[in-house]
Amino acid sequence: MAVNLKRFLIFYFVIFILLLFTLQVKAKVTGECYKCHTMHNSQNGQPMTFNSTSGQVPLLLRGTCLGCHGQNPSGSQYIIENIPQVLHASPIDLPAGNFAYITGNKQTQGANSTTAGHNVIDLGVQETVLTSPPGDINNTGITNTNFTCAGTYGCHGDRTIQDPYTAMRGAHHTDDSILKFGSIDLNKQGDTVGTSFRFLKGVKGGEVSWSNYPTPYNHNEYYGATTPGTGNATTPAGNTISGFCAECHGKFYGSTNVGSSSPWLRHPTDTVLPSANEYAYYTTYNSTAPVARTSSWNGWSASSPSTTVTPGSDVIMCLSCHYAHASPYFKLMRWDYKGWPGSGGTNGCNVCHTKKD
Amino acid sequence: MGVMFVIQKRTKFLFLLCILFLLIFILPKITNSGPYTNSAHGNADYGVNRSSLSTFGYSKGNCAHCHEQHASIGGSEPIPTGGPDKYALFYKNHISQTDNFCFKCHTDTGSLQGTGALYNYSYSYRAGACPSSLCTENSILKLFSYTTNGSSHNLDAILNFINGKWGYTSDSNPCVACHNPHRAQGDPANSSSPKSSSTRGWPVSRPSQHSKDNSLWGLWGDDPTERMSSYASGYTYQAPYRYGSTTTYEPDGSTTTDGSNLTDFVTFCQDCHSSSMTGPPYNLLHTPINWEATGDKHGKGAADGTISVKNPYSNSSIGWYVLSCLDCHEPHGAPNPFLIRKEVNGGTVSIGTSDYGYLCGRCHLDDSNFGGSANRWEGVHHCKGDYPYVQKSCSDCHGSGGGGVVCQGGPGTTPAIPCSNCHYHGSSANATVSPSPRRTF
Repeated sequence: MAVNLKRFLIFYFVIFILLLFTLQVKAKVTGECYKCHTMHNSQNGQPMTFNSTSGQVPLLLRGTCLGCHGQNPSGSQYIIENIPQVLHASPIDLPAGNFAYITGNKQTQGANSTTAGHNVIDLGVQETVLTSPPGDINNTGITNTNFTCAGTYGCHGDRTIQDPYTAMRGAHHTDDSILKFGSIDLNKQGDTVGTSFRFLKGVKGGEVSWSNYPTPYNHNEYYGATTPGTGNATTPAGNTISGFCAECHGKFYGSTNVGSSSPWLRHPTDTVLPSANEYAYYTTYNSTAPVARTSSWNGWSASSPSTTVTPGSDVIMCLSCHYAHASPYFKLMRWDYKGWPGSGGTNGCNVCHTKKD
Repeated sequence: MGVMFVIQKRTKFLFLLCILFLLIFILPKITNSGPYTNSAHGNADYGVNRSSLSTFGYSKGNCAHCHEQHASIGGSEPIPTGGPDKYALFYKNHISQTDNFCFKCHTDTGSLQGTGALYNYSYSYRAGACPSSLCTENSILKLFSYTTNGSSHNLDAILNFINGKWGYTSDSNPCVACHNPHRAQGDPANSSSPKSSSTRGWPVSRPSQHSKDNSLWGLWGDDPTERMSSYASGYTYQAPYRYGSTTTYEPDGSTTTDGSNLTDFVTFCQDCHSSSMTGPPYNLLHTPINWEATGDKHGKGAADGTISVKNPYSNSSIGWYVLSCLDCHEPHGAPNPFLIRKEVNGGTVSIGTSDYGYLCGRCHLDDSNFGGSANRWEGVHHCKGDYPYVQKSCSDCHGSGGGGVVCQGGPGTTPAIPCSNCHYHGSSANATVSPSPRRTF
């Protein structure tokens, strides 16, 4: 009887462990295929695309990039069927911002359709001032008429591949648990699109969970470096988010153009937030001006993002000041920089430059 | 008892209500304004406002007017172009006496600020209320441009001096030796008028307190302990008259005379000028300046006997007067040598003169007060007050001449000796009348 009980307990313990393991690796897109794909774009004579158009989308998809991730530009849902929405009218924006500030679905403050964000052509609102990325010393070939979500002329996917869909191929099906809190493994990140932070090939980091977004301190953890590395048009320097921005905006990154120590020529990124003077007071994580973490940060192994900032260790990045997609403010800023101090609003500079308010 | 309780309860309620209103309406305003937004540069109404930025709609006072984060907005660099510069500034911090980052805005012609003219004025104008028809300098660049016809604080020398001290480096801007650009206030702010007691600001910060921490490197003079009245504690600071007045005083035209409204410029200037600056690049022969009791009579050093002075100074305070550096000197530049102000103690000092009698005569009694001529000094040297020399053998000192006018009623053919032969910071001379030798400044 005792032996049977022992066997019984061992059996269920093994089952429990297996279940736990299964839960951990289920980070990739799961579920029925039809939720994303359609064989004929027809069901009962009706189109299967999310926006109910009759055309075909590559890879048998039910939508283009925006077709899936911007299903209802005037709607109030920032997540639809577990699909994060980058174009919507909800008051809650995702960490990269909201393309609705470009399309006019959300109101801007001091910006307009050409200055609020990255005008990918998919939005149908073409950039009219810039014809190429500012500071594009890598000659990416991106223009205001070809700039798109993914591929050579975009940000996501493999930027050595021009076709956006091919550049993203397989990414959504990749097990990306190494990017999720509780199982982050920097060493295994960045080799493929699917194992890269937000499918930005080569970029490392920790991705916020949509399941409890947005709760305080449930934020992405961006990967940074203590000194700028070397990258090119398709490889992010140092696998950092700032190095990624520099693929197109290289003139604003790296020691040649920014300097290697104070006094800086341009605002530094991939540089440690100093621990002395006014910077020492930035100790509580502030999403107005977030910091990036370096490879030696012990928070990568934690089960959730950190609420603290450590001057002297954490890193300044492009996203400390800018959103990636679009924001209500001039030049994708995280706060109304242009309007301060006249606006009487937030001075995001003050988050780091704590004594210059 | 019950009534008392109700009244107390109501009073308590009203008190709490007042506190609530205070929290709602006053505290947010306090917490919204910090040292930068309280500065002249950070003010949202009249702060920095580079025209090439304001076209994008940048608020006045915004950081970007001075600091370009990327040296690019909308794909190109705002004027002035030329690429990024250190501290992410829009122009090089310092190049020469007349080519400096600050001068790109602080000039009356071609200013990058606003409409192209940013007016600042001399201390004689601001504190002394010297009329604009006499004190015509209306920009910082103009004041620093007095190099051959006049004098100005040598910016290269300042940079050389501060480099390696107090956290300054060779990349520092020499203007930042005296001004914290993130805290300096207009005095008065946004006004073309002389200072008044209701429009005061505090523009300087002590170089020796320089810090990258903006909260540590505060203003100097804004605290009562940083005023001349504090420096002169145990002595007497007497504010000079304002131009043409015998009832109003520097620096703000009020009736305050004890320096309680004046920055302690002695302590401020002595951060640097207590050092010897005799060699290149300074070539200031009369340094270090000793303003303490062991030093100059114009400082805490005591007078010898009497002091033959004009109002508002009086002989009754002999031995106790302490002057502020800016009672005689301009801080930036002046049409006179040694940055001597164009207006001192209510009157003007001749432009470009090397004869300091016109300066001395603004406070000291020349012969015109003893029946002789203006800017002649026979009286105080030979027979009035604590004169140092018995009048005899004139040619021994004067080279020729004789016949004292004031002392002897003679023809007065003796040529004058330049004041600066004997009177300068740290000077002393032998006398024929005790005490000898004696301090002569």
